Amino acid sequence: MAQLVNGYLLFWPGSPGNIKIEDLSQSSNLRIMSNERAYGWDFMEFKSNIPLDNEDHGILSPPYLYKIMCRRSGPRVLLLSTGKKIVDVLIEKEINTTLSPNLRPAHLKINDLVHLIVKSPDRYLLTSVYCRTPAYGADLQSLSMFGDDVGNAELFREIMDRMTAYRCGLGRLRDRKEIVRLGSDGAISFFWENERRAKEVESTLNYLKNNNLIETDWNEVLK
Amino acid sequence: MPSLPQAIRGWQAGTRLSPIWGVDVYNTANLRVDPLDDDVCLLFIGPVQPARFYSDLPQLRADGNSPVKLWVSLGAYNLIVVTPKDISSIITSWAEGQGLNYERWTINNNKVIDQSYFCNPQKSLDWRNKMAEFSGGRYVKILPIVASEYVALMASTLARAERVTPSMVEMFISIHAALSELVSDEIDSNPVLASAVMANVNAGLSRFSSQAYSGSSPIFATESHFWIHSLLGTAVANIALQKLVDFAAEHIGGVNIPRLLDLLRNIKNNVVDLERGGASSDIFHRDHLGDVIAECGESAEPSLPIITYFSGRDGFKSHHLTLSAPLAAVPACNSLRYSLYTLTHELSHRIIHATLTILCPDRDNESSVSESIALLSERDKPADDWLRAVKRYMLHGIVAINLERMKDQGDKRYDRNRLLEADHYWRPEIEEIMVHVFDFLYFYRRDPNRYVKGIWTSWSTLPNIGDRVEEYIIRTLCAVLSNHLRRGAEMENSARDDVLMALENLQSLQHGLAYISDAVSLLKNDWDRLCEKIKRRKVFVQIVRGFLFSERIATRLASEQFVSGNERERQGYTHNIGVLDLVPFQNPLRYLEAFTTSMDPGSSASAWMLNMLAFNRATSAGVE
Repeated sequence: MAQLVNGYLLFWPGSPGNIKIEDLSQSSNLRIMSNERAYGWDFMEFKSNIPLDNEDHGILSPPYLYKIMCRRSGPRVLLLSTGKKIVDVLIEKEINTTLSPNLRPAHLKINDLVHLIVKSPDRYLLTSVYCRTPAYGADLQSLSMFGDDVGNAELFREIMDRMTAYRCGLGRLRDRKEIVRLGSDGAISFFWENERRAKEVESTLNYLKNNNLIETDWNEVLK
Repeated sequence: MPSLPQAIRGWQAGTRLSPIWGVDVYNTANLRVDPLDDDVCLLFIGPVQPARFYSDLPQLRADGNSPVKLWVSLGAYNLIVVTPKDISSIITSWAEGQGLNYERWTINNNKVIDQSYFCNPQKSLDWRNKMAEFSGGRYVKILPIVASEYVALMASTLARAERVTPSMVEMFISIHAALSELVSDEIDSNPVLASAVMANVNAGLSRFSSQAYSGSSPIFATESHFWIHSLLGTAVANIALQKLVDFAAEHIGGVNIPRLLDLLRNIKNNVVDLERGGASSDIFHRDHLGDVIAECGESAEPSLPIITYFSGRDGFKSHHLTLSAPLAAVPACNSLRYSLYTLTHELSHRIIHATLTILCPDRDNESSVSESIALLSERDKPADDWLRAVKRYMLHGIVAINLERMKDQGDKRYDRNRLLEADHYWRPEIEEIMVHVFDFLYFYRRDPNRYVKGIWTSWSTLPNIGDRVEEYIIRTLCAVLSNHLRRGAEMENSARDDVLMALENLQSLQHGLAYISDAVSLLKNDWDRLCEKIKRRKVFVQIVRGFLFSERIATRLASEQFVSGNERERQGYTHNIGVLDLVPFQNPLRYLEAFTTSMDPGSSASAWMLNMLAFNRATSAGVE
C-alpha cells in the first residue's frame, strides 16, 4: 500500500568522501535493517524515547520505533520517514552529534525549477506551486496554485515574474499524476509505493542536479 | 573580566577590551570566567561563522565531555577558544584547512608568555602598481595633503584587507577607480570640490580600517578607536554592514531607476495629460518602468561601490562613495531603535537625488530652464512623450506646493526666476517626501504598520526634533498615501487612518518613545490643515508610485529563495534568534526585516545578528 513519506535531501559538506550507511548509524539508537536493503535504498530502525509521529503516549509506551528510508549518492543522502519530525530529530539528536562534519540540508532552487518547467514543459508538469509575492507587502503575501498542469495556465505565466516559488509538486507528463513535492529547504515528500516510484523520485532529483538546481556547496555559498 | 566596571577599576595606559559572548554548547554562556590553567592555550580564529566550528568538530562540544571552551566576538578574530594544548592542533589544522587566520597565545600563571600567529596566504592582486602610479600623478601634485593621505590610507586598507577580508579587496580597488574618475572630472575646474570628495573618502576609509582591521594579528600591535571594542575591533559588524549595503545597492542601484526614467522619452504611445488625468487614475498604478524595460531592454549596470563604516557622530549618512551607520547599531541593531534597516533611507536618497536632476530645472543649464518654462505653459494637450509628461507634472507639483508661500501674491505666473526660486526653496522637502515614498514602496514593501513602527522608533532616538514632528508626520502620511491613490476623495483619510492606527499601536506598547504622542495629537486635532498640505504634495507621491516604482523590480529586490514554511513565522526563515547556524539566506534586507523586531536593544542578540549577516548570505558564486 502506498504510504506518504517525508524527509530531506542532505549533503555531507566538504566532500570528505562517499557517505556510508555506517557513517549515519553510529548512534546506538539506530539499527541498520540489513535484510531489507532494496534497489539501492537502505533501511534503518530508529529508536526514540519520545513519540514523534502523533502516537498516543497514553496507550503506547516507549521506546517508539520508526523506519527510516535512506538513499545515498556520493556526498548526498536522502533521509525519509513517515513524518518530518522523525527525520528532524534523527538528524539533530542522533546523526549530527557524531558525524563530522555535520549533515546539512541541500537547498533546492524551487523558483528556478518552476521557471525552467514553464519554459521547457517537456519533462515534468507542475501540480502545485506555493509562492510568495514580496512586492505587495501586507496587501498580498502569498499564493498557492494547484492543478494538473499549473504552468500551462496563462494566468500563472503572466504573473510568475512577480512571485518567488518556494515549494512545488512535479507530475508526470503521461498521466498527470504527481511524483514528488519539493521545498527550497531540501524537503521532499512522496507516496512510497514500489521500486518504480522510488526510481522515479531519484530520476527527478537527477533532473534537478543536472540543471544545477541543487545547491550543496555550502562552503562556497557562505564565503 | 565579567563586567565593565571591573575592567575600568584596573585600567592602565595600555588596557584594551572587547566584549565576548559565551555559547551554550561549550558551557560558556554564564558570565563567570575562571582563571586560565597553565596547560591551556588561547586561540583567536576568524573571521568565520562560529557554527562552522560546531558543525565541523562535533567531538569538541561540551556534551561530548570536551574541555574546549569557546566564545564569540565581533572582531576579525571572532572565535576565542580556550583549549588544552594537546587538542589545539586539531583546531589549528581545521582553521588552516578552512583558510582562516589564527593567533595562539600560550598561557602561564594566567599571563601570556608566548604569541604566534598564522595568516592564510592570499593571492595578491595588482593594486600596488596602481596606487604607486596614483601617488606620482597629478592628484597628489594638485591636492598634496588630502591625496597623499588618501593613497597611504588606501594602500594600508588594501594590505590589511588582503589578510583579513580578502573578498573585499576588489571592492576597494573599484572604490579607487570610482574615486579617480569622480575626482578627475573636478580636479582642474573645481579643486575644492575634488578635495572635499577625497577627504570624505579618507574619513570613511580610516574609520572602516580602524574598526575592521584592528584586532588582527598581531593583536597587541593594533588598537581600535571604538574603545569598547579596542582589543579585537568590529570586523564582523563591518562585514555585515558592507554586505547589507552591497546587496541593496546592487539590487536597487544596479537597476538604475533614473536611467529607466530617462528612457521614458522613447515611449510616446498613449501619453496622458497627467494634470487632467484625475488623481485616482490607474495611470499611477501602471508599471511604466516595466514597460521601459520591455521596450528598451534592461542593462543591469554595476552600482557605484560604497565604503561603509560606523560613526557615533554621523549616524546614518550617505556621501558620494561612503555610507555610515550609527555606532550604537553595533551593540543594539537587534532593536528597531537602532536597526540597520534605516540605511535604506540613505540609499533611497541617492536614487531620488539623481531622479530630481532629470525632472527639475537645472539652474546651470539654460536649455533645461527654458524647457521647464515651456512645459509649464503647455495647456490642454498631452506631452509628446512620457518623460515630458512626468516633468510637466513635476513642475505643476512645484507650483502647487509653492502656493503655500504665495497666498497673498497677486501675480502667480512663473518666469525663469520665480520657477528657479520655488524649485530651490522646495527641493529639499520634495526630495525628502519622494525618498519616504520610495523607501516605503520598495524597502518597507508597502506595509504601513512596519513602516510607521520602523521610522518612528528610529526617530525616537534623535534628540531635539520635537519642533519638526509636523514635517515628519507629513512625510509619513505621504508615504502611506501611495497605498491609497485609487480611493478618490477618501485617499487622504485612509492614509491618516493607517498612520494613526500604527502610531497608537506603538503608543500602546508603552516603551516611552519620544514624539509619538505629539504626532497622534497632530493627526487628531489638526487634521484639516495637515490634509491640505498632503493634497499639495500628492503630485510627488503619484510620481514615485507611477514612474519610479515597478512591481517587477520590487519583486526582485525582495525575493528570497531560501525561505520555506510559514510566512507569518519570521517570513519563512527557519533561523532562531541567538542560534548561530549554517543555513544561508539570499536577501539580507529581508533577513534584517524578519529578525529586527525587538523594541529593546540587546548586545548578544545584536552580536548574533551581525554574525549571521556577515557570514550566512549566499554569494553569487554559490546561488544567485
